Amino acid sequence: MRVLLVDDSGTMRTIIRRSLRALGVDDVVEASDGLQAIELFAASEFDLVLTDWNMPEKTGLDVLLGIRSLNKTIPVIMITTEGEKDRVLDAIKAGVSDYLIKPFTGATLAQKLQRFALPV
Amino acid sequence: MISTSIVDEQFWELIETIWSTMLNLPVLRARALAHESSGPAASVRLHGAFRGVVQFLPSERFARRATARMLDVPEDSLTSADVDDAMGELCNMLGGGVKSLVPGPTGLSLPSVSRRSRPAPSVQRRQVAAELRFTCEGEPLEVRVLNDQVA
Repeated sequence: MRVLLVDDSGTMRTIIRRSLRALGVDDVVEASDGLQAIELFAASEFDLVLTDWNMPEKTGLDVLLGIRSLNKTIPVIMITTEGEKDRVLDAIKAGVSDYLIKPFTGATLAQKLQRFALPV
Repeated sequence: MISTSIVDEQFWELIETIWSTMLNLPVLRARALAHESSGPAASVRLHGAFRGVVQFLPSERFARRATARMLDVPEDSLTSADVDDAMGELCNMLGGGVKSLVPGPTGLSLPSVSRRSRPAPSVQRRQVAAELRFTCEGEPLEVRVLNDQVA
């Protein structure tokens, strides 16, 4: 499985990458901003996108819209904080597949991945 | 004039959850702490129905120790940018949790981190909606939620 991981925080990318590795997912491409994420997505094949919501310049919603303009079916999981849960409706309308509320555990991440029949 | 007091126990539960999940470390409430004169000062702004700021003031020692733990690297390999990013992310989660406790609709800014070289300024002209002092591995930590609207 190849994952595109989008987060402006290097700390969160490290933590999420570690959680993915623990689930046997080693092929992870990182993007530190939304524009880079869309460029990487357009240039390569991925099985899953994990994107933070609250980022400067291009938000996770912008990333989602950009990806959906290129691919209607790839699972896109939005990472958000508890308080941003109310904005998930906006993401659902834009085509998000699921969301993760941080802080989240490796077990929660595994459940989300398994929901899309992704082997972990 | 809106006066919002965040329920103390809900706020504490939020802190315990974040510290448990992100750091796997217990936290202990403290009535009073010796103020650290330096360390990162992380904050996120809330805007909308509730206008204010969430401040996270850890000691420098905790900030470095926690960052090393989150990144799973030796403490002496850390840069100040690593520490600021990690503390900003903890503050971001605190802000997100606080947002769910205040009137909506309220938006959340990106976190910002500065370095304080003296004790945190007293909060004037702002209402303290919540304030918790606690320790983690013996290090002092403080989280405040300040309401921009003057009481």
